[in-house]
Amino acid sequence: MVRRYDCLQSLVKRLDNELVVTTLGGTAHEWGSLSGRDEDLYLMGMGLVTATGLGLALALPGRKVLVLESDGSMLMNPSIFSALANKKPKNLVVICFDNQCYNAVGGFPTATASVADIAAMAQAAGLSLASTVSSLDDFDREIIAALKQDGPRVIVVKTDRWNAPVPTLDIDGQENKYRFARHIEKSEGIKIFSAMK
Amino acid sequence: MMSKEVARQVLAALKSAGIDFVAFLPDTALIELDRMVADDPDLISVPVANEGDGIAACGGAWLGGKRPAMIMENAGLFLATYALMRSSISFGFPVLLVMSYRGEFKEARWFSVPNGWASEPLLKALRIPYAVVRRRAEIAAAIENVQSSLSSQQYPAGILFGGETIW
Repeated sequence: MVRRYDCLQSLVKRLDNELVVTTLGGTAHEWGSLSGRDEDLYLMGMGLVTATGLGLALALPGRKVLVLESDGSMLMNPSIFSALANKKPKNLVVICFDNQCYNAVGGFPTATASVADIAAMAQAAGLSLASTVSSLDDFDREIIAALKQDGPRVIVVKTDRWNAPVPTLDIDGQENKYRFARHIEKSEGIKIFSAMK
Repeated sequence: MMSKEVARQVLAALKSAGIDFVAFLPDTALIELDRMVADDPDLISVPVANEGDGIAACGGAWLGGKRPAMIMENAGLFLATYALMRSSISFGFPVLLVMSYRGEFKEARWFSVPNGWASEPLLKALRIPYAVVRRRAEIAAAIENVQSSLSSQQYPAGILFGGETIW
């Protein structure tokens, strides 16, 4: 088992202009405290994060998109794996932190604590670059490959239940949307918001 | 069901209104439109197995500079309600919902009848503006009007296709 926070610390040091979409809970708060970049979208929902990343990756095929998922979120909506495998966006990386429980509600076990294997589910849906890691060295190796190579890639990270004592996010969805979209406009040289007529 | 001729009319109006990204889950009424979308080289098309996936993908596509639409049966609206609330509505992603209006008069499937009761009340509860299009002559103007309001409202909006457009 590895700590999610250690993985996120390692990840943030390796990023340049990659876009990051997060699930909710500890993952979002920890990532927000470590990163806080304009390239971050804290989606704060379960079962929607990888699909949002898929749309983003297809819209911007020249930009790497990283999705920070959780086991609870992926198990809520595994249908996204087949859509992802069907479109195969080369620029999408799904990182699923699997702590085998619903940590935010006290640690009730998810199905990955007993029977479910998220990487195997992804592979069965047609995502050949899906693997499970449980050490920081293996996580780093997968991330280095994911940032350099074509995907889509799914990295399931077996973590413990520890949450870093970081402040909770103080940005809401509306502010986050404008910050993120304005960054895309500037960095990609495109218009997202229309001028008034 | 929507004929090829009407589906061509809808697709042309969607493209004319700037739609360039379409997620869809095939349904009986709109299958001709779904086929045309899937084959259209000018569109990024994303078949999904769950309408919520499509709604979330449309939100991501909008953030990437696209003008997205989700094509689905109105039954998909019920399945996608959580995705709409947590993504399009909470963040304010302008996503066009293109839906068949199953459950109105002429409905032959008993299990689709409740779709007719619940669609408009649900859209109202979600504060999603929508148009109901039952005549072919109204298609182009309705799509243009709804799509043109998305940018200023920064919120999803919908069109329900019923009447002679699907029956």
